[in-house]
Amino acid sequence: MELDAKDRTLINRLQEGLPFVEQPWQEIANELGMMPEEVLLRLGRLKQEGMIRRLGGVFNPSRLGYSGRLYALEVKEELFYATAEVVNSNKGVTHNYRRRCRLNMWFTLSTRTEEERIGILSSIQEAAGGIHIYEFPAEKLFKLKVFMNMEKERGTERNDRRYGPEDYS
Amino acid sequence: MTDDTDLRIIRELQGEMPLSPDPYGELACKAGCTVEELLLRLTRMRTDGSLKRIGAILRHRNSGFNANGLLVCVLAEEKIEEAGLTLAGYPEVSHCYRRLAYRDWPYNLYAMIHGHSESEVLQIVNRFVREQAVEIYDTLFSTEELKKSSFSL
Repeated sequence: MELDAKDRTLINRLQEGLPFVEQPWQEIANELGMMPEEVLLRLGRLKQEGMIRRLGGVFNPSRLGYSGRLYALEVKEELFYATAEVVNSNKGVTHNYRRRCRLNMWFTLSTRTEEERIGILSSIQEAAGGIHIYEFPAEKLFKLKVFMNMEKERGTERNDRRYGPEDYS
Repeated sequence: MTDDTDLRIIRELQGEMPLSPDPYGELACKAGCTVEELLLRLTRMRTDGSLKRIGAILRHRNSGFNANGLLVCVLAEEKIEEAGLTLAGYPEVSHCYRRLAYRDWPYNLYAMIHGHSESEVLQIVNRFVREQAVEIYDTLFSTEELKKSSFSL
């Protein structure tokens, strides 16, 4: 889809988050020099055309009582998609990627309890033919800030420092 | 602590913000509280860190950021802090963590790097490893998105 300069400014602004005020569109519109109706109209189009996957709450699982980690495994090709299906069937798995590497499947898993985590991991291990699952807990967070700059080649950005080191995803 | 009203708000926010002229009004109605109370609760959740923001999540591939490489490297104890902070300062890096290493997987510093192409990502990697004199590293490019969703209760 074609994006104009206003779309790009709006996308960047919306990635920063809506203000918690009664008239959020009005406030964003004022900041960007648009009308609130135009903000809504453009937003609707950006969502409809798939540029914006979702406009909603972004939570920190660890602050809601969940513990999350990164995992990787080396799955045989013939078991790859069957294993992916088992991995993906868990709500606590938010990301799963194939990567060009010996460890070809990488996913994140958040669970409330250790028991639940162990149960899920053993079902995955079984699907993958009993191979070892590497667990990569975070020991220190240096950065967590997903921001795609749609306006410039390279720009300034703010690093979020509100989150604890346990926030993994 | 989260109570039932918080939980209803969280469940609503796991979905989509209403694209209406009064989105918080609609949200408050669904959560069973007033708009004033909703805004207070949202502010509290943001302050305690459970809610990062209510914002837009892009489809990376539609936004032109087609390449995503996970840089993994081995850093000595005395160098890892500086290297981590350096990576954190790159706008192309979205995540950077020190992680547990193993004998057969010795990498202890991880960074997710986004670019418009693999070569763009590799340029960033090359600059970093040269500057920090990193000898053992690899860039794991994603070749298939098997699942990508938002956290939900």
